[in-house]
Formats: sequence, structure tokens, C-alpha cells
Amino acid sequence: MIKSISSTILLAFLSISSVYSQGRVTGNFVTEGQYYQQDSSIGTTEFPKQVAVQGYLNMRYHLDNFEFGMRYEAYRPPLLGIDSRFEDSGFPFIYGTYRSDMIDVTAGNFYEQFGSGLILRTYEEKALGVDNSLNGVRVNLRPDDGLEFTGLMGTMRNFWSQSDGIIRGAKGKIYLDSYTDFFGDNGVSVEGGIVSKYEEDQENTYNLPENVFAYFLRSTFIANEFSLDAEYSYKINDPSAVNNFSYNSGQGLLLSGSYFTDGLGISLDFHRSDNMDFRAERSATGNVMNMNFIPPLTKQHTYGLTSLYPFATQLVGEIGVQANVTYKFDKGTTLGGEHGTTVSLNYSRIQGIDSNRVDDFTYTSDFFAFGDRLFYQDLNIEVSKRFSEDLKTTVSLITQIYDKDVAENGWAPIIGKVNSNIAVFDATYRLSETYALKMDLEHLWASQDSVLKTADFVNGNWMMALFELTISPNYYISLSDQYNYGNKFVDHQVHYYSGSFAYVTGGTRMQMSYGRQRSGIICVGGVCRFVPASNGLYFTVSTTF
Amino acid sequence: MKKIILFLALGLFAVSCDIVDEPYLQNEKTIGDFKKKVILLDFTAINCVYCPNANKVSSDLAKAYGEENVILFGAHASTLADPKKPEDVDMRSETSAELFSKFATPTTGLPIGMVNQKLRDGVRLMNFGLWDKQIIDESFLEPDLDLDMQLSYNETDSTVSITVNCDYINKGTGDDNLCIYITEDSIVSPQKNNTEVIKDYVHNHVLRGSVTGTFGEQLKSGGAVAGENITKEYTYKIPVGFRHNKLRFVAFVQDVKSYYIKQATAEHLYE
Repeated sequence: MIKSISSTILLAFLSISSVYSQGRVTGNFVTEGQYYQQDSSIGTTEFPKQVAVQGYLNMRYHLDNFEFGMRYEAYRPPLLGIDSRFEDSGFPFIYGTYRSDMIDVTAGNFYEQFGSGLILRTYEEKALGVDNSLNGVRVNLRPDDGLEFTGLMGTMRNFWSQSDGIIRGAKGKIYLDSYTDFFGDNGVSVEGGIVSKYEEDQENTYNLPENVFAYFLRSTFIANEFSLDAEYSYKINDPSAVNNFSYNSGQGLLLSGSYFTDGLGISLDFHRSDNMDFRAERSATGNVMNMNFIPPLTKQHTYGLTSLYPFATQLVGEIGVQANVTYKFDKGTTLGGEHGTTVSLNYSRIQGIDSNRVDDFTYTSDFFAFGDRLFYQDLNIEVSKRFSEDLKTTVSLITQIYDKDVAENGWAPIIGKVNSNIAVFDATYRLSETYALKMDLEHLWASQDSVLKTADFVNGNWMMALFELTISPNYYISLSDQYNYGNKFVDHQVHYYSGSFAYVTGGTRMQMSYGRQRSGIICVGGVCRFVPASNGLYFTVSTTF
Repeated sequence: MKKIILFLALGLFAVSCDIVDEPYLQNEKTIGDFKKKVILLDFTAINCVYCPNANKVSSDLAKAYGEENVILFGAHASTLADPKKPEDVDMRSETSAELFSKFATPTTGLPIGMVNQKLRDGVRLMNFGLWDKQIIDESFLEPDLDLDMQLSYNETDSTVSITVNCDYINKGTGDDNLCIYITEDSIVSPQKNNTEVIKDYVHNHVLRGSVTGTFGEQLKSGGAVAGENITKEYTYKIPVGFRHNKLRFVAFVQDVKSYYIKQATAEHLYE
């Protein structure tokens, strides 16, 4: 049924495009694939198919106040680590939008976020295998320069079907500084919204709420050098598979303050999440049909070994703080040298919430109390310095504590905490106008609470080297090796080597790489998925038009 | 403009809120007569902290609907089932491992289970909060076949003679396999939950192995004729370490292609 509707809309889309030849078509295309090889030395699992290919084509047609768009997706089959329920092809995203100065109306599929996303955030992130677009109707109103309203209803994408749950929501935002001079030059806004999910209770065990209601309130203050942001959310009882049918209500709180002046930036953040996992179906688990999102409170590291132990936000319950200080020593000073030096210091600490179980279905929790269990701690310093026009370097030192059982083992007490210290040296030297060479050397020292019983592939010390040659403006060649030389199991002390070649021209990028991918966790914005080990040839082509 | 505001206002009114107070569990249920028996397989593990919750749900369901109607398999699988300490009893079995490998992935979170291995909306594995609904749905179905099993136990050499009679009530479809599994009750071994290790946890319905192989042996190929009767006989030597008085044999017929369980029956070795 969905496919026949999709085909009809596609035909309509093409017809409109041809009739209104004065319109404009934009879009992009991405395909990626991998040829898998068995490699017992890194623990590859059996591949259902030797070759996996997935691709997407986005097309948007713009005509005056109208926009029509669609996305074609094909997973034949999905890459390892992406949910196998994606295996299929079709048009999961089709929409039409009318835009004017005062009103936007969208029918079909759309993405939406209320505030920071505490009660509603739908988005697409192919790296995670996440697409929780809504299919329904949305209206955005701007009756005045300082006033915004949004109303929506729809169901959520569930691989190739739609959720049983129906989502309805509305939000409003007022820029107070647009209506009064009381705040001077400062920007002050107040925002609030509600979301309700209807899902029929089809089982006979529990008395389940069929309408789950949530709201959020947010206030933002922006001065020249200061900014303050506070956001609170509340969700009524929402027993689900993820919270093991807890009848507690959920609460979320984000507090953020920052100060920026010449060369200095300071930010402080606090957040607390308690039973805030909100899904379009109460039976959903994993990264499936999430309706909301809590921004991560930890630094999102990007270097190879620094992302070995990334932390996923625990929607069911966490409390934490983060502080970040960045200072730029000016050129000509002792520490700044000839070209300036930037130093960034970051600290974050996430713990469980303090809770006491009352019965099988409820618990109590002191709102601002930190629980005993430390989930994650990260203290890091990064120094970036340019020694000349041609040489720039970055040095990072990181010390982390990572509760692997919370992050990866569903709280089962198997490994405990991993303590790691990481050093990174990254240098880029411009050899000529055309050639630049980047060198990235890293080392990770790690130990863990318990003696490993299961021979896993990520433990102990690692070292890594990466060399990348850029031939401007089109070519990138890189070679890298991650070596788990300190693995407690001698058989697993293996090299994860890989080589990569990329060609970029205009909006098109082609990349081919060959080598080993270690098993582990990848995260985007605090949302994570497991990546199984693999070895083989990977390719991707993307283009924007 | 007024229409738009009216639209939004209507939207707000549509936003509803159901705050549920105690009792959280329903008191009355409408269930079928279980002419078709139900197998609830629960992938569980001694290091899975929410598995005791699921075990309680499965146990309560079997008690509520009758242990002959809702037959439980506790399949200890995944890396969470690996014994970590000397006092941990190893309850993993080749059968559980093969089932986990077939129906789950290494990243599948426990506890998770299947009701008659039925695929519903593309999903076979479901959280324990959803088992009841599936069981009740199955309880109303009319079976395509009846199944009966007799056990004859020879204590001298620890062998069991098993006779399974299968009567096709309706014309069969597709290929059917017969599977016979063995479960063991009352195994005491530490079990973790989300606050502690329960040292004297009693594990019931532990899936120990199979007589026929995990995915069974051919019972009927190409669809049975209505009224057709098939008898299968097996001799099984009980492995060392199995406590004979705690064993239960479960026979079931599954569709070869979909793995859906069409009918089941269970007998304790000692009544």
C-alpha cells in the first residue's frame, strides 16, 4: 500500500517537474558499499551476503512558494551494523511544502525538533541507521517577527512501515526583546511545547496509558558576552520495553551558561535525565522510533583512539556536569609565539541518578542528587599551535573513566569501568601549494576493573598512526594502522590497518578504502550504535546537485 | 488566520493525557481455550540484570493460563550467559546458542522472547511486556493438528523412549518439522539483577538440549492431508548431569520455512 502510494506521488512529482519547467531541482545522491572478507583474527561474524550496498537519492523541486521532495532508499542489504530490517528499497520520504512569510504548511514526511529535543526530535543520521521522520501534517506560523508557532501530527517511520503510535504536538516561541526595550540589546526568548502520543493498549497484562503527554519549557538569554539557556521537560507515566514498564513520570533538565570575550571562552553545563526515553511505540528498543533526544554532555572526540570509548546518553537516567575553557594566546606573546596558540580544557562527569525502588513499577528519586555509580568522566586538554604558515600542530591529552557495562552491556556487571589515558599528536605540514601531509600519532593506555573472562577485541593498550597526503584540490590518500598491542589475549593483539583513496571534484566525492574495521561503538551526538568487526573493500560515492 | 488558529486550537484539544494510578496490572482478561498450545521462549542469562523481571512474567503467565497451555523455555544465551564465577552453573546449551544465533544478533538486548516463534509485523523477538498479548492471541486459534507424546523411562540405562503422535485436523500447508526439546527445573545458581547478585536464584524451564536437533526432523513434506496420522519414535539417552526428576520433554511441530510453531505438547519425565 505504502509503495503504491509512493509510486503515485513519484509520478505526480515527475509530472509537476516536467510541466513547470521553470522550477528548480536540487538534491544529492549517496551510495556506499562494502565487500566483506572473513577474518577470524579480528572476530568477524558470518556475513549473510558477501557484498552490502546501500544508497539514497534526495530530490527537491522548488517552484515559487512550493517545494516538493522525496528520497529513494535502497539497502541490498544494509551494511553490517545497520539494522537488517532496513533491507528493502522504496520511497520512505515524500513531502510537499507551501511557504510564505507568515505560514509554512507541510504534508507528507518531515523532520521536527522542539527546543533541544527533550520531548521531540526527529532526524536522519545514516551513520547510525536512524531515520525517525514523521508522516503527517505540520503547520509553522509566524504571525509577527517575534512570534513562532508550530502544530503537527503524524506517525513515525518504522523501517518500511509507520508506527502504531500517533504523535501530536504544538509549540510556541516568543522573542521578548522584540516587544519591549526592557532587555536592552540582549536577546531573550521563551519557548514551550507539548507532545502527546496515542498508542492503543493491545495487551492484557498492564493498565497502560494510551495517551502519553509531555511538555517542555525553555528560556534563553543572550547578551554580548553571556548566554544562559534553561530547559525543563516532563513526561507522564510511560511504561515501555526500554524502562522495563516503569510507571514513574519522566523529567529532563538542561542548564547551560557561557561567557565569551576576546580570546577566552567559558561554558558550564548541567543536565539531568530521568525516565525520559520517549518512543512512538512502547515496544521499541535500540535506536528505533525514538521521539526525543538529550544533547550529550561530553566532548565529542574525533581522533581514532579518542573515540574508542564514547559515551551514549542514558535517557533512562543520568545526571552530569561539563565545563569547558578555551583561551587563545595572542600572536607575539610568550605562549602565543609568532602565530598564536589555542588551549582548550574540558571536563565532564556523568553519574547515575539517585533512585530508590518502591515496588516493581515505581521508584523515588531526589532530583538534584547524584547517584553513586559513575558512568563516565573525561578530563582533556588540547593545545593547537601553528608554528609557521606551513606547519600547524595539535596535541591532546585525555584521561577517561568509562563504565563499559552501562554503555555497552545493558548494565550487566561484566567488565566494570575502563580507565584510559590517551595522547594525540597531530601535525599538518604544507609541502607546497598543492601538497600537504598530515600525520596523526596516538597512544592509549587502558586498564579495567575486572579480569577479562571473555576474549574481547577492545581492551588494553593501543597505538595508532595515520598519514594522509592531500593533493589539492582533488585527491586524498591515507594510510593508517591501529594496533591493540596490549590486548590481554595474545591472539587478539592485531593490527587494524587500512588504506584510503578519495577524489573530490565540485560537489562529488568518491572514496575507496581497504582494510580492517575494529568492532566497537560509534556515536553521533550522544546516540550510538554497535559496529561489528569487518575486513574488506569499502567504497562510497556522493554528489550534490 | 482565524482558521489556522482554530486548527492549532483543535490540535491542542486533541492532546490527551492518561495518568495511570495503581493497580498497574489488569485484573480481568478474556482468553481462548488454548486448543493450540503456546511455547514462550525467553532468551535469558545469569548476568542479564533485567532477566529476573522477565522470568517472573513468564512464570506468572504459565501459572495463570496453565503450564500445559503455556510451555516455557528459558534459553540461556549470548555472552551474558557465560559463567563468570565458580559457583555459576553453566546453563548454556547448543540448542539455545543455535536459536539465539538464528533469531537474534550479538547486539540483541536481553531479556527478549518469542511466542510460538511467530513473526509479527516483521518482528519475532519482543520484550516481556508484550508476551501476554501474543499468548492470548494464540489462545484463540484453532490448531491444524493435534499432538500427543508418551514417554517411557528406563532408569537402568537412563534412556527415554519417546513416541509422538501427530493428527492433522486440517489440510497441512508447506513442510513441517518435529522438534523435541528438554527443559530442566529448579537449578540453583546465582543470578544478577539491577541491584545485587541473588545467590540462591532458582532457574526453571532451562533449555538443556534437544532430541531431534535444534530445528527438528522432517515430519511431513509438501503439506499433510486432513485426517493424516503420523507417528514418530525416538530413543534418547539422558546426558550425565541432568537431574531426571526435574526434566520435561516438549514436542512441537514447526513450519520449516517460517519457524512458526503450529502445535506443542509437554510431558514431565516424572509426574
